[in-house]
Amino acid sequence: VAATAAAVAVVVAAAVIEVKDLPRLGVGCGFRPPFRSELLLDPSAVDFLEITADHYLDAGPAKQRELEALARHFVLIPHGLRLSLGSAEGIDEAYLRSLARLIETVDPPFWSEHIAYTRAGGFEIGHLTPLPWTHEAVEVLRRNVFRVRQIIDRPLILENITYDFVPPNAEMNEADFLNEVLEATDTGLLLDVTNVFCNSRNHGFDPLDFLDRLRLDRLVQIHFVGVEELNGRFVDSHARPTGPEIFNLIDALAERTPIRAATLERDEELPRFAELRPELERARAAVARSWS
Amino acid sequence: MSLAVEQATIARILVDGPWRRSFFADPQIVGRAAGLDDGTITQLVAQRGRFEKSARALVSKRRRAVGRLLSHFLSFFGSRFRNHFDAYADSHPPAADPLAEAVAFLADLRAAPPHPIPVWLINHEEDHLLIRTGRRRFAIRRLQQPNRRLLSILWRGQGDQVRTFSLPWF
Repeated sequence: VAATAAAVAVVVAAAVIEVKDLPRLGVGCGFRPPFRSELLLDPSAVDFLEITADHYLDAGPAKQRELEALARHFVLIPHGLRLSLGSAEGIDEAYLRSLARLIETVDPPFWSEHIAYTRAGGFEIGHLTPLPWTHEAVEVLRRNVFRVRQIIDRPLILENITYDFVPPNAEMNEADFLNEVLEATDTGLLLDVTNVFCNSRNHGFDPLDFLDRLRLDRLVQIHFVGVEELNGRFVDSHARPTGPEIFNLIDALAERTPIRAATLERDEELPRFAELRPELERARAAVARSWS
Repeated sequence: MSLAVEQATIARILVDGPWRRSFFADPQIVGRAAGLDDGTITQLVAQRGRFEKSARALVSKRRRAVGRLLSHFLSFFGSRFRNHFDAYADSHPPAADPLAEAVAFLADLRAAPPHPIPVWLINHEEDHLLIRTGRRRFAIRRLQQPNRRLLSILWRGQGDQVRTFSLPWF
């Protein structure tokens, strides 16, 4: 029992994050199959690729070969969607083990998930759902991340999400909640700049003030993409080119802290990859400035 | 009130249409029965519009994902596909993934079609899904059954990509 406990302690300690030890990856994009040919013809177009982990869990031979081809040419960062780290009922162990197998195969410098839940009360919600900004939610995340670390020994970074409704019973504001979560779970921050922008517009706060409140010393990676305004609400539809309002926010972040990785997250209404290059180059300049 | 109760309630508001309507129609009775305290009920009711918008957005997301998998169905029904799927999604929580959702949607249509739907079309789309889910042998066995209204020819193309030709000549 003592030997097992010691082994678990070693694995958990290995997965605890030291942001300064993580590599500077540069600028990449979320991999989408329509980009495959252009990316493989010119791998220098991006510094890394983010893959949606769920697309490769228990994958068939074709997806496995795709993953192997990508891994030969790119640094891959798995990005999970359905681990549901915020679920009070705990982690889905079968899903966790599938995810662990994928991450072991890919061997990334770090991987990412969301500060959210997707499963509760026997329902698969099918969407990232916001946690209440409470100490109990922080404790649930701490407990679930600890369990994940027993199985997955790569550093984990956690992403902020957008929310239409504010979960009841908040005990603190969103920025303080994110800080407490990062501290309690000892994880890095994946800051979705587009989500910050949408939330600030939809819920009426100053995004720069939000950045000033965050523990930016834990920042590892950012996500960015354009926004859409639908019926007076800003939506991160992942379907629009990145506009100046998002790049201005990235610039403001770059003035405050170094950015190790920046990922363009385009999912819908995909153009040819070549059309994304100006956005990648604009982000590359901001990332470079963040280190100067 | 525990976080688990709050999460289960919000999940139900988002994915269970009949329950959502009953909650907002009589929040005190339904909310207390679900284990919510009065403060939480008040805060949920105050954001009713946002919850309903989120629920609609979730159904749209599910419909888009299933529509990509049921392309022939989408062509056949056109704009009516939206009505059929939204009626299904209102009372059926999301499945684990889009493939499972598409299979469940077809099973629901087969059991209680809103109006006459060609059985061969349901069979055809189910066969496609079986192939995509890796249950290829089962799909082939189904396709070899006599009196089928659809003849499908399977062949293995480049790599592992399996394609289906459909000839509705019976």
